[in-house]
Amino acid sequence: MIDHKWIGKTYGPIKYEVGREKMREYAAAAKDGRPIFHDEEFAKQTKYGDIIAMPNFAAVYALRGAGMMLLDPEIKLNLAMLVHGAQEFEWFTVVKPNDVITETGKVADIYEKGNLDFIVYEGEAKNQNGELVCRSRATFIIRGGGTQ
Amino acid sequence: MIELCNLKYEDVQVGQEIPTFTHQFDRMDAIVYAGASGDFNPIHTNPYFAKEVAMLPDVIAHGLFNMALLGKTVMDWVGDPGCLKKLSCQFRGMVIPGDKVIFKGRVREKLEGNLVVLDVWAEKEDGSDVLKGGEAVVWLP
Repeated sequence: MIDHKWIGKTYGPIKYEVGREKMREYAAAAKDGRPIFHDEEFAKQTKYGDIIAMPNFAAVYALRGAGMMLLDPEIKLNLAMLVHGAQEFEWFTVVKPNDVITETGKVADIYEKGNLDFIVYEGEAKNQNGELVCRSRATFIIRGGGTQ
Repeated sequence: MIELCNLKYEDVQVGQEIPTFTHQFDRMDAIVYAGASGDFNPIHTNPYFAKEVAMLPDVIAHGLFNMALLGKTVMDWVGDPGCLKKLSCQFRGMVIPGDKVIFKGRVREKLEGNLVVLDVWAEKEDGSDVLKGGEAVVWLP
């Protein structure tokens, strides 16, 4: 069982600088070749003016705090038995090359169901203008007991 | 000016299914996704580790890779990625090399403010769950 006292523990702020080629690399890895993710000349003719990141790129810039939580030496989660159970992303604006994202997050919940332990991370990512970019909520399941 | 959005709010019907996307998972997909996402957990990339240490049938696809393909499926329907406001799902079945996964969606509800809510999910050819209980929210002009 994971100690419930960790609910509310915070992570960050964590900075992520968005690179043009990294945005393209992510979209390509997700089999998404649409020009708005890859082609500047095309993007210039749209309202965006430059390429935008695939929304799911939030997996890279908005879950770094979740990684910190999973490896937190105080909580000591049993990673060998851990699976990603559910994920939620909510987007408020698009991400463009050279954006500087700042993520802050927290342990939002810890609970048990049978011999499964659940730990939930919630994060918020803002850009260099202070605009909210993405809210994320990740639920991890530890089979057969929470900590090492 | 190029308009990316393919749809109008008024043209969308509750119950309408969106075009499906099918992908046959290859072990190279997971290696490429590991590099792109930074998630180098060896259960996705190293068959020896996956089988002998983690006791899995083979390497498995990243859940977030499957979720990205689900996002792509919704964006292919809408056209403008900026219209995707929310995406969620539960990671259920493991996907191993050779598995064909079908990504699907159906309009559940139209809300005020030009928002459309879809049920979205992914399943294998035999109908078993890969991504379950998913929801997408899109804004349409």
